[in-house]
Amino acid sequence: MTDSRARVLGTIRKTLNRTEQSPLVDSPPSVPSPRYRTPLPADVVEQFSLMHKRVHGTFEAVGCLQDVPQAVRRYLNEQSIPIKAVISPEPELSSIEWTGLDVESRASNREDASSVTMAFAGIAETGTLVMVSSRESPVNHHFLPEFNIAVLKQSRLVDSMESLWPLIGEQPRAINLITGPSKTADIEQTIVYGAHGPRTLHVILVRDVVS
Amino acid sequence: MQVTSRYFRTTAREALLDEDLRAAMGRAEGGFIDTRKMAVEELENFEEYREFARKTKNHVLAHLDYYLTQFESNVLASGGQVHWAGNGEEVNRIVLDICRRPDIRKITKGKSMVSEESALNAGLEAAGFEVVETDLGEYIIQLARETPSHIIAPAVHKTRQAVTDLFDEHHREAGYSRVVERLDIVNQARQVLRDHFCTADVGITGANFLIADTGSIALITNEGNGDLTANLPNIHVVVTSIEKVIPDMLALGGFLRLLGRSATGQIMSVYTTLFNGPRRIDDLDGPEEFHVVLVDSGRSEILGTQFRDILRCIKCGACMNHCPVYTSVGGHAYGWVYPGPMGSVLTPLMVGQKKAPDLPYACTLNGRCKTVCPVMIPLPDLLREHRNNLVEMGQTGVVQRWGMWLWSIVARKPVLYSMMTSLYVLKLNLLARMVPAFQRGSFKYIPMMGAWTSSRDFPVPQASTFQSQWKKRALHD
Ligand code: SF4
Repeated sequence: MTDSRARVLGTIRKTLNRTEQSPLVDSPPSVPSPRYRTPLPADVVEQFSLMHKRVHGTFEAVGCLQDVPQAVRRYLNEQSIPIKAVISPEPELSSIEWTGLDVESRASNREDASSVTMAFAGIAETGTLVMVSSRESPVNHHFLPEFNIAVLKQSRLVDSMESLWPLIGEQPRAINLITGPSKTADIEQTIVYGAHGPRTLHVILVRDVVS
Repeated sequence: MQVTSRYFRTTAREALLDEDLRAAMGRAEGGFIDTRKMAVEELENFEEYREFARKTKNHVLAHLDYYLTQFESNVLASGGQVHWAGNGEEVNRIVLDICRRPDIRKITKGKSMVSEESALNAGLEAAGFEVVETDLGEYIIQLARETPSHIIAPAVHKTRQAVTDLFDEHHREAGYSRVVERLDIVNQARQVLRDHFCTADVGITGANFLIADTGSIALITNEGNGDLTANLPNIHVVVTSIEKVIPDMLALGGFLRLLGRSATGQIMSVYTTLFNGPRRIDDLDGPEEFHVVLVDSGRSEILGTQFRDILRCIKCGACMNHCPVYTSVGGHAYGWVYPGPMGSVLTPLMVGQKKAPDLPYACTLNGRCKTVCPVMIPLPDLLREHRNNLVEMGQTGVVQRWGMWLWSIVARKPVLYSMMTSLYVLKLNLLARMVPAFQRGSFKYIPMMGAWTSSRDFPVPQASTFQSQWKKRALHD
């Protein structure tokens, strides 16, 4: 298809009245900063939890990583599902004592009902979880299980997308920006949760920032 | 996709008589408009974002070759492959070439309007592949053997009852029972499609944005079907078009603040995913192969015309949600992939004006589409351009030409014009006074305009025409 490539680029250049590739690009316009009618809470944790709950997510905060298993157990109990989960093979999640919980650290498959993942970051403006794929963070954990629990460290909260990009070094295979549980409005324009992805999305915030 | 746009008049007339369609569209229209309004009003400087988006898209279009080649080299650097397709035939050939391997049978597909242009599904099915659409709306219309009627809500024209019957017909054999409630319908689709996701050999998705700076493709869904389509099979193919490229991630942030709000009134859609090439050497999941098909299909030509602005379109659907013609006749009447105002501009350019002579007239020039468009495309102006071209080509219908000729004579003679319009207003007012049903302030039926009023009410006119009121006011001042 090299012919098509030459043809498409050729036509573009012709219609733009050029014969060569445009050499220098004047810089693109800069992005405005958002201003909200009802200003968002000044505190990023409050901002995040407010926005995350608005899209049907659930939220709780715990003191440290070692508190996570108890929170997960409680949550799975509330959902009346087996106390087991597939977890991301990530150093911090792996370092936790998962007493009273049946966890397996591997990639997920369709039999897994619930997953526990470690968020790369959280965006307060929109209540969005940021997942960055790697050997330690398989992507299907966010989509296959019906119940998704994400652990988010307070130190990883950013105010906006603009502050997120500098944190990501080399591009991973996938960056998932996740805002609430899966939903559809394809039947009579009415929202139903749990379309193809998780029905519920629970965030456990770890307060690792000393105030 | 086959073009039936030239039958717009007939299909539109039929659509107006379709009770189910009217019910479905009536329900959708209000919802879209209200939720968008709320989400837009909350972002105080929304207009600044529209201006930003317009400028950014114009900037990219003026340097399209630069950004496309930058995007291409970054996809290659992340291990992906890039294919260029000049037209729809090439699109289908490229995708078929990728899929033709002994172990490939099933293909799952996320919503992709670009792939509808070349009827990719039909092409793949003819070659023996099983193709399964995974967006719930797309899945429904695939079962019904129809085409999308809206660019973001493809099954917006279907009632719940219709979906119940379709599911019953297609799922019964596999042991599923008849489902009536919304939640049950969605659950059944979830179960049926789960099997397909997990057994597909190739996943085909579209893209919302292509990020030149990193070679990422941005895919946005609410259901999560796009991600399951992209992540589970061994091969991910992205079918997308050349005007979707944007400079960098910062620009993406700006567009995301506009897109969700404009499309569905969401601050942010549920899943926004950036894909960069195939799975890395030590990744635990993800496809082994990553292909991007860059489709032109006439866009590079449009770039050189007075219609360039339409290439800014980010396919949010706001213009159709706010269009009285679209919400009355639905998407199928437009006869090709893209309906509503953006479709009426784009279709004649992509399939030829002769095949869609009526579309530029499917407009009341009320200007709402232009006001809500997040990238500030002057849609009514572009439709007017089309009309001018059609008149120059002698392509207008007899009725339109005679009508316009008559009108131009009358309009040029103020006395004649005011006489004629006053007469009509007088007649309607008399009617309103005589017939109690008309006294609520709107007509359900107007003599000689039955086709116009059967799908909407005509307001009872003020006691006099605009012109005579204006004269009176001028006297008072
Ligand atoms: S023309 Fe504007 S409003 Fe219509 S779909 Fe495109 S971007 Fe949205």
